[in-house]
Amino acid sequence: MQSEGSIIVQSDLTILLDERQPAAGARELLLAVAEAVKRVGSVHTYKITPMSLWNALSAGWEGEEMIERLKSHSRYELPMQAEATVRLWASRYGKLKLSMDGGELLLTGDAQILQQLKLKGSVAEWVRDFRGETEWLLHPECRGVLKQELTRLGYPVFDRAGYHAGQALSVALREKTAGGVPFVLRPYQQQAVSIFSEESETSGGSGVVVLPCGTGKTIVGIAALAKIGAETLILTSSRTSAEQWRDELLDKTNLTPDSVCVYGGKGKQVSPVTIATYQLLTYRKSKSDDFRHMGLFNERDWGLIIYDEVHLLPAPVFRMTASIQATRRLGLTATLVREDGCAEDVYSLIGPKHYDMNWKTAEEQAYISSVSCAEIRVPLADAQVNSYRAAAPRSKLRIAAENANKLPVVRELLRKHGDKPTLVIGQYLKQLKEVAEELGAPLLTGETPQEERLRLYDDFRAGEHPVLVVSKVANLAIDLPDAAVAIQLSGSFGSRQEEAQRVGRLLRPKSGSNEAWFYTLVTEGTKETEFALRRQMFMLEQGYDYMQLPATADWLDPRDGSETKEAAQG
Amino acid sequence: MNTEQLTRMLPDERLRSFLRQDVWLHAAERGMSWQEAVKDREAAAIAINRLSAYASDTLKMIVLRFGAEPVAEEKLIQALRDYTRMAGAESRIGVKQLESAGFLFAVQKLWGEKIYWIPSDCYTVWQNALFPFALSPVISSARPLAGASGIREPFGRRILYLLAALAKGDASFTAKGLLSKKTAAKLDEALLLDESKLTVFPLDWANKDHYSLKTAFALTVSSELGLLRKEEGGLALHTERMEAWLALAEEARERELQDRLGGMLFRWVGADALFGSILMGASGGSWYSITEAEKLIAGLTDSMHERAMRGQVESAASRLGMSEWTHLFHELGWMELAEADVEGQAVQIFRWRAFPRENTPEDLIVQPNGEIWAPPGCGYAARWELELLGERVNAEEPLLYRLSAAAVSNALEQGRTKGDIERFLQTAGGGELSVHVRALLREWTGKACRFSFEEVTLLRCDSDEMAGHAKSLAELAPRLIEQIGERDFIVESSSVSEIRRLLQKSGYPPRKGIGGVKAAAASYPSFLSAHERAGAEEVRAEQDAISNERASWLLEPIVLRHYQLVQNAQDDPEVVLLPGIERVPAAWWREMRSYHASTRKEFMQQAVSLETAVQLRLNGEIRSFVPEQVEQRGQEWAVTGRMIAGDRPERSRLTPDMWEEMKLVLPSGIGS
Repeated sequence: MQSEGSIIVQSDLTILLDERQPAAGARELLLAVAEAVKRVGSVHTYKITPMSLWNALSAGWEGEEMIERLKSHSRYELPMQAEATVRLWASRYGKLKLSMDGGELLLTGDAQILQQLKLKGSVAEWVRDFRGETEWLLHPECRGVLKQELTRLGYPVFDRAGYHAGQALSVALREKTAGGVPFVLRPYQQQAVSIFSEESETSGGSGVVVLPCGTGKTIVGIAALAKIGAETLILTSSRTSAEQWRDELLDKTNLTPDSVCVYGGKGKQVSPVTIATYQLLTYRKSKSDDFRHMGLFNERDWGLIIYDEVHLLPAPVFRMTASIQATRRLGLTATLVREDGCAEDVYSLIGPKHYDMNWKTAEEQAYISSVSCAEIRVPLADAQVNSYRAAAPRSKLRIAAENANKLPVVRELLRKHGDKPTLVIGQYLKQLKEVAEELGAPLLTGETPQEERLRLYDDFRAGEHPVLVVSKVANLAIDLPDAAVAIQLSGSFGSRQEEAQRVGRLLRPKSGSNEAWFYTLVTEGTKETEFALRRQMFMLEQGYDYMQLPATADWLDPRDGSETKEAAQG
Repeated sequence: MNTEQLTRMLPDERLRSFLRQDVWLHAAERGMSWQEAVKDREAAAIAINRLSAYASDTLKMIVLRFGAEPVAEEKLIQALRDYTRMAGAESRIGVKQLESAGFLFAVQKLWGEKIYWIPSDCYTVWQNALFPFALSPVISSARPLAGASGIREPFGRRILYLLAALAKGDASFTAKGLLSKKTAAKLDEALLLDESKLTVFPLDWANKDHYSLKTAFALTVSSELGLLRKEEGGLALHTERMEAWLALAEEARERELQDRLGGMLFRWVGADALFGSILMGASGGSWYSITEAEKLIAGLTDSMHERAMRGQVESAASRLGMSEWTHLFHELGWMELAEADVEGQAVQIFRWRAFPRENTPEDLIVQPNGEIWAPPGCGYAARWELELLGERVNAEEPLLYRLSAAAVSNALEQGRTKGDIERFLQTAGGGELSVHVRALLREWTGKACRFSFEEVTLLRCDSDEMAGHAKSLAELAPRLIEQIGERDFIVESSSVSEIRRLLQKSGYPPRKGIGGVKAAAASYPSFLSAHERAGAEEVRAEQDAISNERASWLLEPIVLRHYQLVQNAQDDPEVVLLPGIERVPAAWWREMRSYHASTRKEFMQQAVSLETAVQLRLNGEIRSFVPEQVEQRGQEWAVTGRMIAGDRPERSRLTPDMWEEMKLVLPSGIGS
């Protein structure tokens, strides 16, 4: 049976959305009940997982309603296995509940399900007393681990054991930022915060908010903090990111500098709002040592813990999080998919996904910039041809990456984009130093002291230096809000993650046309072309496309040939 | 042996003679050949309805008791005696009539023993005509069945994957005349078949330590379909047949495979073929209860066994049941299995998958990252190409392929060019390729196969002087394509004869044959060297192995082709019915009479000899009795045989005082 439906449901609940068909209704359905896996080309891939399905149920959906909607949009007959799986998972929803009674942790629920679970050693080991067919007394520390295990086994549990209020902290959002700019939450930010902070039978509480890069995840975190009004621990992926959190908090709330601190550095200060990095928390001198900073979780009476870039959450923090389930938690991320396949663990320990925004929707509504990606093929400089041919395989890539012909191309691109803030990003310091020198632009590397870095960022923002040459330190959490152009000279082999991180630097919305450009310079006829194609895969799967341009007269503008010619002639 | 093989082996006159029998009148009028008629549901059903009671009972017993498994004559006659009401003469008439009408065939061993069988590819059609079943569709909602959930890819696709793996790999034979271990392993992998679903069937195959059952099975099917043929050095695809097969609508392709499968398995499983056949007779689209089908079969076989004399016949316990067949059909992607509630009980249900009867091609979806979705309607020719160009990622619908450097490189090896690949993807994908896909193809085709080895013919001169001579010949010079070094020239193989003639004409006849001094010496080998002798043995071993390989992968329970097929009526000695009947008084079969004890004995002895039944008046009631043996104990005698009561024979021993009157019962149409 074949119809005009725009989705194809596979028996393992992988769902393909054919964007070539009218797909608005189907897309809305999938955003509600499934996880987006990739959005490459005209057919986007989604997957219904136990968690995504329970998230949908918690948002008020019914299992049968999902099945009917899937059928109505489906191009082919819904596989019986898929239908049955939805029905099975849905039937288990709401049948188990964690609660506190007189300080004791209880698991209550459907007698038949509890009977099934009694046979599972990984569940039964946490039970102190099988009090009856419908109620078990649990070890108090198992709340997180047990939820994680129940999710793995396909049994969702309502966590109604409540949250610890934590030390109250009065925080208000400013109507105008400290810098004097009017400030108001965007509708989607408002919605994400509302869902997180409400606490009804079917939704709210701890959970994860998924927003594309540049759409203001930090603002959602800050607004959640203000709404909860409690002392908060914020965990981030890098020192720079931590400092940006601090600056944003001071800029957009009435918090004062003495109530916000970045943990680490010179003193190990702990304030009502403390920001720390995952690296610091998981630091230890040797494998046999304890994580000496993990005590931060208990340093103050936290009422909220925010996990920034929650997809990067390291394993020790996972374990720690499992033991602090009484504290309210908010996860923020741009991607649902963890490379280690631990996405389900994130949801079970932090909480279900509360909000997910489609990247293309964000772009259409100008919440993120519209980035054009182009690969420019540059011939290898004559002087390097012989050394490339003679080089050992490992050295070939470096010679190709440091192709001297790339510099004139960079110059052309800079000329074309005028004074737009531009990052020139590369892998090899020697090349970066030469390029920085040739362009008269400052160079930022891992060796650049923190103060110097901040000064360079400020100068860059202020437009004093419209071009910044950066090493791979640009990969992580450097927030350059006004960068509109990125030129990638070289990268780490075929790293898709690195490519995405570098494109992500450009996604913050821009004034004016809201456009940004990402160029990757690749040496023609060398190993670099193969690696470049591999690097681009992640972005392709996010729905982006790369122009392929040769470094000749017509290559400069991927969108406008006439302008290109002018630039080339100019 | 199936109808196709029989058609090849039997004389045309014999094939025509089948259709001259009354039972095939309808088919003959429709202009059908015997081969068409026996597998046509309607024609076969009409013919079977017209069979005499003897032939019909014989065929029913064969179908239920032996299936399509070959059976020795003695065993067949014994079974007819055990499981039917017929007397020996009646059974022989039944067998003879079936042979004459092209239902039953025989081979004859050298010492005269015969083996009978029905063509395996007719089994399902005849079973349906003899025992029509009507399963009731289950209307309760189906839910997945643990252990057999979902649907598998249709077997046709798995055959395609196997052939693609063979075409991409090394299809040549080793010195033992077998595919290499590596190739065999690749074929195994390509089939995606759970072998345990096949191993429960009592199959036998050649080179077990080399080929798995599933590979032997799939190679046999491919070979029977004509897609694959064995050549001297290895296996080769039959490209024309492949082209036609790939172009079939999916329904026709899978139907043909189902028929082949039935034909192959039914030869092996005897009476258990009934399970498979009943399932295959169910129409597609509806769910049916497996339990109901089992009950129907049990009813049928029970009634047969009830007819058999209790405790007197060999047990025909089933080796296979419904479960083995349904799981095999599910594994081959033809059947869905599920569970449903029927009358408050959870029962297993099955449904034949419906495949498209016509090709309605759906475009491939070629994604910018090199992923290709092949929707269910994607043609098999396109799937064949995808097997070459990409790596299959899943086994779901639609199938996902991923273009890869290795696969594209292999495609170049197989003679595809970048242009070919782009054209295929554009045409099958119904649109322009993305920039990234073009870049990937450019990248992957830019390096592989830039160099190649070619076999060319070399004109080798034994000196510079002779090279100069060749160049100086005006007619010869244009045929010297390229000079290699001082003394050699590349020439077209097709020009060799002409160049030879020109050189001869110029006074320098070239060496005969192709090759230099070494080749010339090798053509007249020395037999003194032990090394050379060992080589010869290897060659012989190789030839033997090739012959062995040619035999088959999947074997047959009895290799009928080793025996002489009974091809013409004259090959088969006429069955002498009622031997000596002329010496028997006509009154013996015309009326019931009372006879003296000594005459009664003679009467019974005559009936045993004639293999006929008798009618006896026992306590005033007329009963049929088939006497088998007259026993003498001192002065007393008795007769043992089968007493027929309704459908059910009972073994009985009668003394002459036990009946009042008697008469012979001659087979219908004799003695009237």
